[in-house]
Formats: sequence, structure tokens, C-alpha cells
Amino acid sequence: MRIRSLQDFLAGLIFLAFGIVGLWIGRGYQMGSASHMGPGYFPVLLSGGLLLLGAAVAARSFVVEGQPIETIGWRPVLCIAGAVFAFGATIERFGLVVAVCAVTLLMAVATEERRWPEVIASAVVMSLFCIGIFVFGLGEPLKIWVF
Amino acid sequence: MAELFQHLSTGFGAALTLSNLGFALIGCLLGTLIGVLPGLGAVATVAMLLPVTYGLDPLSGMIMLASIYYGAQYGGSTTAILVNLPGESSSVVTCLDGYRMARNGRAGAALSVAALGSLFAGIVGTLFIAGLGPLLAGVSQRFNSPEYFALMVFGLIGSVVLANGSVLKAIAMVFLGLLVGLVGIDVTSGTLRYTFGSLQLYDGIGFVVLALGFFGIPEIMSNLEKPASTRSVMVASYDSLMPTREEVRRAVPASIRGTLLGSFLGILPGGGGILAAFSSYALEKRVSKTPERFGTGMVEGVAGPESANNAAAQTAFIPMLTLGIPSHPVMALMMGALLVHGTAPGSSIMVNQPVLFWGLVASMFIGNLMLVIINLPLIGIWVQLLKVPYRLLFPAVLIFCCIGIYSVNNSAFEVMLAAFVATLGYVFYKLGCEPAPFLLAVVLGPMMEENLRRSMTLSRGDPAIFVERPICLALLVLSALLVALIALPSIRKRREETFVE
Repeated sequence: MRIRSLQDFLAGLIFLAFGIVGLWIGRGYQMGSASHMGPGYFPVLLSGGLLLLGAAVAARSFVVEGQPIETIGWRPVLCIAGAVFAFGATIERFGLVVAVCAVTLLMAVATEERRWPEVIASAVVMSLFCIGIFVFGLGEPLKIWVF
Repeated sequence: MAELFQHLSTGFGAALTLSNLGFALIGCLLGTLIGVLPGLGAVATVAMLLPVTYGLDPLSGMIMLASIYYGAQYGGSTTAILVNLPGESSSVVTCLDGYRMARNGRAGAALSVAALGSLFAGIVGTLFIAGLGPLLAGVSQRFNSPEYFALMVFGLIGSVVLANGSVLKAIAMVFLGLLVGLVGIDVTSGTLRYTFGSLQLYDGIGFVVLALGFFGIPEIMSNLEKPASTRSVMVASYDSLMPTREEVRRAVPASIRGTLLGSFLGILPGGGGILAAFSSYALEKRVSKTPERFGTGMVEGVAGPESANNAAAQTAFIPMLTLGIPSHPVMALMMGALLVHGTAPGSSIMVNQPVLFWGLVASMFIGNLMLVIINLPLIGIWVQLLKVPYRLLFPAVLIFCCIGIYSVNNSAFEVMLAAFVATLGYVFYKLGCEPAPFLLAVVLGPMMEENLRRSMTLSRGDPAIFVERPICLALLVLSALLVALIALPSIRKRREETFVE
């Protein structure tokens, strides 16, 4: 027994996990009957299907040769996800300028070719640009500054 | 026929106002911009700008979103020809012969052929919408819950078949999408499902969050992880935009064939530019007297696929507008925009909102014409854009994504949620799981459950109702045929080849 396709194996596990979670949470919803479906009927049907499909994909990974997983760039992925999260975490409390600067900074950390003067300039330009376009141009109710 | 002209004149009346022309122009410019830049697709752009259109009147909003969508198709081919990078996934094929033409010193001719072929295809595709729309809407008026359920099954199977890669994984993505679509309050019973006790999930997971989480943000992630050297851009030079007489003679029939093929493939659920472009390239190769010369700069290899993908981009509107079933993630987003304005797409849209429907159709003629005008003379400017380094471009794009997500509901929670969704989207991307079937399933999830419930109540719990009704049976048989088709070894091999090429 040898995993021939790591891609399929991992994808199968993820689908299995979603299926199990779906069933586990869905067990609390009323099932109803086929003619009067409760809120639990369709979710349980789908979770069950997902479970079977996940198992099939994972099982296939032992039989069929698949493509290797391309290299994963942890740094850009974590930085970008972090940047989006930081935007969400700061926009309401500290306003647009802080949020824009946070994203620009984390994006600079994500790449290897950053030049700090450029990063600072781009944070300033982007802040002004976003305030101009979104707050004044489009009238979005965005908080601009900390206070 | 007279009726059609009357409808069209209503439409042109609505679309030709100064403000609507302005929105079409903005959309075309933005779309071309996005299309030219590799690594950011139409789905992400439309998702980002969706909240902006909520403030506009429905027709203006739709015109702008539609212009972005087909503008991206035009822009994508420019990058494909000049830089050998597909600006949009549907212009992958154009790289093959388009870039070779550019290397042979015929870049200008390739650009003109692509733009004019797209214009022709766009106009024919729009005529298809105008002609077929009312017909299909008429048919769909006889649809009841079982038919809608079967139609959705057909649509989802279609998106699976057209997905690149493993069919099994694509089906699993559909199931996952349907399940994710159910998150939130169940309208029939009032039960909260999969909300994990979070108030913010009562209305479900926002579609913009999912669209940007599965398309936009992972695209940036995968672009940034490539070493900087592979991203540098070599732009081919060009002098004259005029194709030679010989090139025109060969391009015209290819363009006509591509347009017809693309118009047809675009209507199919899950259809869209990519398959149309690949099929057209294969067709041109087959009818050519010198198939071995494809890949060395054949003008047919540019004219055919470029026309096909643009025609398909237009006719993809048909199922969304007339049946209320989106066939492409962009269509799902546009449907969401319509719903926000209180207009349910479907058979009634032409009767209840004729100005909206025909105005949109008319704006497509205008938009396609505008794009040729924007694209050909301004190509120099678009090319300059390719020289902006990614380290300056990507932070800007990511900030727009964040603001876009935030402004849908003014919800900081949704932005933070998007960070997690994007990480998951990236993992799926790395594992070869396609996002498009997932997104369509999310939109269709609640509708499918609703129609399944109603059908089963109608039949008192007997699933035979789905095979007793002729239209319903036909749709399910078609779905089964599609599945059988990809299971056949010979077709499977062909499908793999098409996607590999």
C-alpha cells in the first residue's frame, strides 16, 4: 500500500472531514419524511454523499497515479491571508488608513523584492487613493481615521 | 421579427442614455485593464465591484458588470498575443499561435484579427440572446419544481464535465458547495443550520466572500509564490495593425466557424470561454489543409478561438437571464446583483422588466463596438501597464478585494472570514479541486433544496415524479449521458488532451 497521488489523498481527507462535520452537526436537525422534508433532510443527504465521495477520492489515491503537489509558498500565503484578516480586524476600530497600511506592510513581507521607501510611498498613495475613490467618490460609509 | 426590432429599439433607447454609455465605458475600461493583467480574472473583478453597483439603478449596474466581463475577454487576448501569457484563462489557446505570429512580426495583424473576430462574435452572440431568450423563456414558463430541480442537476453536471481535471473531485466540490449554500436560516422551517452559533452567519456565507476567497485571493497567492524571474515580461513589438489580404481570407471563415461553435457551447450549463476556445482550435486544426503548421503562427488559430470565446461569453447570459440558472461564476454574481435589486431572473424578466432585459442586450452591441475602439488604438497604453511591477500592483488589488468584501454588508466579520476561505481556496487549488463547480453549487444549493422539497411534496414522497414528466426526464437523461460520456475511455482521453494542449 502506497499513496500514489498525494493530491487525491489529501483532497479525499478534506471532503471526508466536511462530510463528517456536516453529518455531526446535521444530526440535530429535524429530518422529516420524503414528502415533508425537514431542515435536516437535504444536508444529511449531501453530507452522506460528500462522505462517500471523499472516501472514493482517498481510496483512488492508492491505486491511480496522480500529479505531485506543486511547491507551496508558505510565506506569501500566510502573509496574504494575514493581510486580509488584518484589514477586517482594523477597519472598524482604526479606520481605512490603518487598514490600508497594514495590508501594504504585510504584502511587503510576503515578497522578497521589497524596497522600503517604495513600500512607504505606496502605502501613502494607496491610502489617499482609497479615501478619494471609495469615501468621497463612491460615498461608501468607511471610517477614515482612528478617531 | 418585427417584434424583435421593437424590443431592440426599446433596449437601445434605454442603453443609449449618456449615463449608461458612461457605465459601459467604465466597465469596458476596467474589464480590459483586468483582462490585460495576468493573474486576476473577471470573477474577482466583478465580485470586487459588485457592491459599487448596488447604489446604481439595476440597468446601469448590469451594464457595467457585463462590460467588465466581456472587456476582460478582449484584454486577455492582448496579453496572450504580445507577452505569451494568458491574461484570462479563456485566452490560453490564443498564446499558441498568437504569440508565434507576434514573433514572426505579425503582432499587429494578430491583434486586429482577434479584436475584429471578437466584435463579430459578440454581435452574433448578442443576436442569439435576443432571438433565443424569448423562446427559452416561453419554454420555461411550463416549468415546475421537478423541472427546475432537473435543470439544476443538468447545470451542475455540465460544470463538472467542463471542469479541468478529476471528475470525481469536481463532483465532490459540487456537494460541498451545495452544503455550504445551506449555511444560515432555513426559510421553510426557520431552523438555523451550520451557523456555529454566529449571528453573522444567519444570512449564510456571502457570495462575494466565497468568490474572492476562491478566485481572487488565491490567484494573488499563487502569483506571488512564483520566483520573480519567471514573472518578468517581454513584450513583442509590432508596427502595423493591418492584416494582409491573405490573412483576412483565412481568418474570416475561421472566425465564422468559431462564432457558431462558441455561441452554441456558451448556452450549455457550465459552458464558457475556455471550452469554446479549445474546441474551436481543435476544429480549425481538423479542417485545415496544413494542420502541422498550427503552433507556428497560423492566423486561423487566433481568429477561431478568439471569436469562439467571445461568442460563448455572450450566450452564457441566456440560461441566467431566461431560466434563472447561472452557468458561470460571473453569471452567478450578476444574478446576485439582480436579486439585490429585487429582480428575480427567470422567465418573467422579459415580461416584467423588458427595459432591463433589452437594455442589457442593446448595451452588449454598444459594449463590443466600444471595446474594439478602446482596444486597437490604445494598445500601447495597455501594454505599458504590463510593465508595472507586481510588488506595487498586488497590494493595491488585495486592498480593493478587502474593501469590496467589506462594503457588501459593511461587515468586518466577512473580511476576516474571507481570510480563512481564501486559505481553503488555495489548498483546494493546490489539490487540483476546481472552484467553479463549487461556486455554482453554492448559489444553486438553497434553490435546489426548495425545488426538491416542493417536488417531493407534490408527489407525496414518490421520487418517480422526476421520470414521469417528459421535460424533467429529458434533462435527467441528458445529465446521465454527460456523465456516461466522460466515463467512456476514448472521450476521457480526448478531454484530457484538450485540457493539456
